[in-house]
Amino acid sequence: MLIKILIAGILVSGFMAAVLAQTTGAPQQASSTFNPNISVITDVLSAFGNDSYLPGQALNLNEVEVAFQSVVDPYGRADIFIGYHPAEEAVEVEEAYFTWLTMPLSLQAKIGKFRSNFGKFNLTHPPETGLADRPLAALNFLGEEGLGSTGATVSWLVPISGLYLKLIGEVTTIWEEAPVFSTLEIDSSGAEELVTSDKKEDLGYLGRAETFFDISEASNLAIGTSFATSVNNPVGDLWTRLWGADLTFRWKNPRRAVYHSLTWRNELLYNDREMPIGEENIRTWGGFSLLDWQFSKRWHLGGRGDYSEFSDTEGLSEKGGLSYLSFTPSEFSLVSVQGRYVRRSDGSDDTAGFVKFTFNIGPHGAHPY
Amino acid sequence: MKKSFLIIIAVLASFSLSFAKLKVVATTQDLASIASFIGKDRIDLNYIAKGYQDPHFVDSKPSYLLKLRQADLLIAVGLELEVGWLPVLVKDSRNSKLISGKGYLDASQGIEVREKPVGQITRAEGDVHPYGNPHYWLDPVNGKIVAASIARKLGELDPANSEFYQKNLEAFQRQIDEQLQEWQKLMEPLRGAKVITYHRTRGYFADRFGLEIAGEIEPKPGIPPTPSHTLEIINRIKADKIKVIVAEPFYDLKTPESIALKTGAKVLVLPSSVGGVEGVKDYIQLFDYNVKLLKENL
Repeated sequence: MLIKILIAGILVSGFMAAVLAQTTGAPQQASSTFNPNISVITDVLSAFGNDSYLPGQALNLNEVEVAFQSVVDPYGRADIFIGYHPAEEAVEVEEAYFTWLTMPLSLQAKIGKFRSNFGKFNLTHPPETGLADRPLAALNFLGEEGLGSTGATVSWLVPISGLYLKLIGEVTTIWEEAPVFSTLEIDSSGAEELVTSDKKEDLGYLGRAETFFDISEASNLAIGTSFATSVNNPVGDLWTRLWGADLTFRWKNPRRAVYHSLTWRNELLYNDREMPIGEENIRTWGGFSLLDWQFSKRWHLGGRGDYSEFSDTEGLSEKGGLSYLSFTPSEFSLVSVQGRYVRRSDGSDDTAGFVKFTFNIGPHGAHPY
Repeated sequence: MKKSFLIIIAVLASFSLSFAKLKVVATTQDLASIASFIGKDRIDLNYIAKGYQDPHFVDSKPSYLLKLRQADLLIAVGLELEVGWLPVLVKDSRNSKLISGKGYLDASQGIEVREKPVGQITRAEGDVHPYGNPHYWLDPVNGKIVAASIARKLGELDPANSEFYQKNLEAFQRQIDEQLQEWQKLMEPLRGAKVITYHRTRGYFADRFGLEIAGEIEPKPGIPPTPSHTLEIINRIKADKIKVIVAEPFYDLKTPESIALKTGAKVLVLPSSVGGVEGVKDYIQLFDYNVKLLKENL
């Protein structure tokens, strides 16, 4: 409904502007000069296999994400990402934040709703990952949409000569859709729901340190460690502490930069969850390792290995992997064939195949490394 | 005692500030080379993209932030050549001089830009640059314009050395004028000669030295060669008896070499930037090298 209203509003305002321009001949405000950059990424997925959570249709419009990005004033810029999820018929403001770009002492701050700086993968919007699914550990600990909420973050580029070291601190409202920071409740109808504290004073706290080294002209290493903590139950008296570590190795010969590259990304998560009095804390972990080999200008071959336990249960786990072959006709579209296998500790397993297609329109946005 | 100590510290601080060099970062080695002619030893110069890299595709590595965060001046080619990597670096640099624009120089200012798209611009035309062809440094006359912009900006940021920069600018422009006469003399017999290029890199160079670009290996900017377009290029080379296919060092030579094999044309790997090949160490040598190789092969 909201998206219909938005589209109708844009059409009506555009029509009115055109009518005014034609009929009055009056000087027009150069409003387009200050319009934000608008880009749209669309994710179409075909999935098949014996996993009951796979989308049901032969072809599914997974998500349409619209980004509005612009400088606001001499002090900062705004980034707003709105996602439309046809399966849930839901329009959601995924991120909307203001960044103060130039603060003293090499600081930078942002306020609003944003994806939390927990690891590297969590920062990537689902349609932009190139993968048909999210790693098992990311899904089981951080949830389908990843860790994100409304709050404020401050980052500091530590001024040590020749060393890239960034420290980040975040305070947000509670991460209510993350299994690791909530409790799964089953209502009388048997429906499952993640619940957590709704008290104003219960917040999420996050810290991260990351560094980067050029090993050679062609290869480099990015290393990060993250910590997040918040309450995990509706009463707000039990806490979860979540640690993360990530390591990314990249190789790309700058003399042949557009033709070949290799990226090896690894992330680990460790969860320490307080339980009601009389029960031991739950300590579980998960992680994934993703290898992407660009073997020609437009082709990528890759695979991901997954292992994950669950945030609220000990003794259960699942492991598996995803492999893919992707073709990128240009920087703005991708076709990918992917296969996934998951095996659980209870002996069950499932296989799935995917064909993923994404395309994006709008200004050529630079991507953070 | 305490007072004298503070005075000494203050004097030392002002002394070091007055002799602190401007920290200049250029996005490419070409711009760095021109800046070095102007700033010489009175600037602390650095650059991001090396001459053998395709300047369209540079990773925005955090290590580049270390160069940018302390910079007093960032010199960019502009015309959206660096759009895929520079904005995110500037944004993350936390350097108010660059973000506010006070320490930022778009070196394309004052350049007569070629191939400005007319009408509606879409990516159906490939990696089209909406403000026109950004490879303008390959005309040495444009190098003079860039040098003038750099000298002006350095003078603004460092008025104490403004005269020094101006003198160096005049010397650089004189050197270009003298060299240009020589280069044009060498290229004169080749006037009107047709060449095929890999990408639309050579338009400014061709205009200055009287060459004619008869086609590109890429069907559209940034789009890899297709069989039908390759066949078209083969037929054009045969029909027009074109002798040379020019490719930059960072391109895959498989298609140019296969075309050369079928047509008898020669593939010339010519640097489009300082540092693109061994021995091309500055902006003057870039043209020396290009002119010499074309002269020998056309």
